[in-house]
Amino acid sequence: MAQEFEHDVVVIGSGAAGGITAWNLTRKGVKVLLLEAGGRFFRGDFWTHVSPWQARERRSRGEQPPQFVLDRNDQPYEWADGRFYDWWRVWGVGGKTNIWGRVSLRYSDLNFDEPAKDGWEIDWPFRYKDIAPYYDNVDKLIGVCADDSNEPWLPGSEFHMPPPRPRCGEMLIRKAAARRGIKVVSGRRAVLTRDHRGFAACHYCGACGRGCDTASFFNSADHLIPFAEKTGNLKIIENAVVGRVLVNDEGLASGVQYFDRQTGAERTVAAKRVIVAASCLDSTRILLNSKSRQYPNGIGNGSGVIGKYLCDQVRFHVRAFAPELMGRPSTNDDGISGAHIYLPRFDRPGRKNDYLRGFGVQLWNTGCHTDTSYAKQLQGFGLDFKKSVKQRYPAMLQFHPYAEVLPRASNFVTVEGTQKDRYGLPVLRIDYNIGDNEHKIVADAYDTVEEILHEMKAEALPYTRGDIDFFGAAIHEHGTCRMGRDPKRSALNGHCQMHEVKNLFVVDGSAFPTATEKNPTLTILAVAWRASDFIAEQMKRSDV
Amino acid sequence: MAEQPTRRAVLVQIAAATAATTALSPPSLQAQVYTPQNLSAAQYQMLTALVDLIIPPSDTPGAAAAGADQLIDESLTRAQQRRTTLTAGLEMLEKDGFSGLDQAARVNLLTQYSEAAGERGEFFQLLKDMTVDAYYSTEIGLAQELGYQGNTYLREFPGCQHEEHQ
Repeated sequence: MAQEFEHDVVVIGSGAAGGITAWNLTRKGVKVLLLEAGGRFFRGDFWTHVSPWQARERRSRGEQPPQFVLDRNDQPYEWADGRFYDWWRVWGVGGKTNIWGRVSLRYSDLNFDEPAKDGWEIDWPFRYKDIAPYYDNVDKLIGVCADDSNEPWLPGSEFHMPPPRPRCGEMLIRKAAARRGIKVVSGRRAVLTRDHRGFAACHYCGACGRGCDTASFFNSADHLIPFAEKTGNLKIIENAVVGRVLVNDEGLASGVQYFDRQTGAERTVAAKRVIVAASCLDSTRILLNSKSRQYPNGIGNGSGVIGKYLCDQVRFHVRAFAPELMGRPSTNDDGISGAHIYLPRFDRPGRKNDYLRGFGVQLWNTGCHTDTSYAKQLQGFGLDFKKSVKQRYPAMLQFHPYAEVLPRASNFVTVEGTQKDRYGLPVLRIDYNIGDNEHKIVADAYDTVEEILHEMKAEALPYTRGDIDFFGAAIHEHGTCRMGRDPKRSALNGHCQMHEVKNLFVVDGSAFPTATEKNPTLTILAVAWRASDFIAEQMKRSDV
Repeated sequence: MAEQPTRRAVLVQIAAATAATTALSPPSLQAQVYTPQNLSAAQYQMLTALVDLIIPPSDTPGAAAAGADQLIDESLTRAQQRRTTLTAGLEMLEKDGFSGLDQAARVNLLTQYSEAAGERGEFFQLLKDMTVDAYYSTEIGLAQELGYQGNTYLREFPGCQHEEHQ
């Protein structure tokens, strides 16, 4: 007779945050029931080694690769006043880590100190020294390749794997930036350049965005969940779309209501402790929809901060050509896909910025790739045009600055008065805009890019200064269930525990009070690991 | 713990799997006569001439030989707006006498379109965009013409090896 699985904890979501939480708790002997809104993606199905022309043939036969990104028509959301917000969601085991950009940057104390120093919104409840051991743990576990640089805005690590060598264009960018006193370091990327924990090192096919067929970059589905399952302490319910966290008379979380994604059937599970890790905005939607007599504005939301202070980054893209590389033979520039270098945030000596916070610059797709859309921006047609396209192909340089968006109460998400989804749950409406501060950072980022381009004597493709990508395109949402020391201004303490509901934790990016200029996944892993250590410790002492 | 696969074993496995897939694939863009699905025979004939004006044969084949005309026609099935713009543009070109012109005169006419504002200019840009998308996503355009050699298996990534870039 099969033994009943009696869980100690319910975890909602299996991406970076939910995966590391389930992995850490199960290895400590805690029994975890994991609710995941989607099913599994299978590595054998990925279209990794498929050329553009083979992909077209497959599509013409009616085949399609795994659909990672959730279809907006399948699971709608709203945005206010025509201000589109591009919300990327992956429902399925591993979540967005199946296809993430793998940029793994440590936040520095300059980041953690900044809100307290400039006074914009609330302080972080911890500092680098508190989180540093967890950054070390994460680097060792997931495998991050990088050089040994250690910058004021970008701490180094003793546990990096060797980084891949830069491509030609990246070498030239690094040299030109150095001549201007701007330091460009290696990227910090969660791609295995050496065999690690039973996973083969990267084979440099450059198709990471389609899922990795050898699991050679960190993703929760391969690197965390199977290890948690091996302990016997994990049970996963797939296709479980969570609607609400349920509450008992004492105001504690008592269970979770969810809907079977295939049948639509409503179910509930009891819970002694609930850990929400469904990604920033889906977690927030669940919390706001968890209304009760005790919590009319959503569970744990007596302060009213849940749903507010949505913050992330805005980004833009500039493409140019390096004169030294024009007309040279093409090279295989796939590498670990994405940039092998990174331009961390820096302070200009003797200069005081006219804005708060800052930007860092990513440089992916420098070199020869399958994207040839630049040709559409070159003049003319005919033989000269064809020659001009070929000449520039190996010379491509790309700059992608990410500028921090400040947390503001006026940037918020709500479930009030919105349409209902197929399960009868109110969908999210995102009310978001940027202000003067962001425009000023973006202007400085344009100046910096132009300074480097000028130094390189590079030929830029036409762009309009000040233009930015869609809101949300950075896919780094934060702030809507933020942590802090003051229960009136924050929903969680520094261990991701709700101030108002002691057995409810929120461990994903929604907990961050500010977005910083950096990609957050490494920090999400570290913060969630730390929170789950705290939970396990509290359980031993029977405090939660 | 399960036995850890060696890196080499994994690479051999995936290489073999890909080889098998390739062998089973039908030959790409067969040289048989193609019947256009979204354009008339006359329009398609114009399109074939036009894509070769935009990307002509040189030491590598041009857009028509790479099948860009066929790919564009096929793509129109899912793009009603583009189809309307394209067919309207082809009609304008025909009124301007395109089919009766010799090669040099066709180049002149298309140059006028490429420099024009409004409908003619928009049509030219769409035609050029579609030709670029189609041609440079074929094996001829991307691999043969541009020299793309990616999406393969490497033991180590060499990166930039040029002394002058270090």
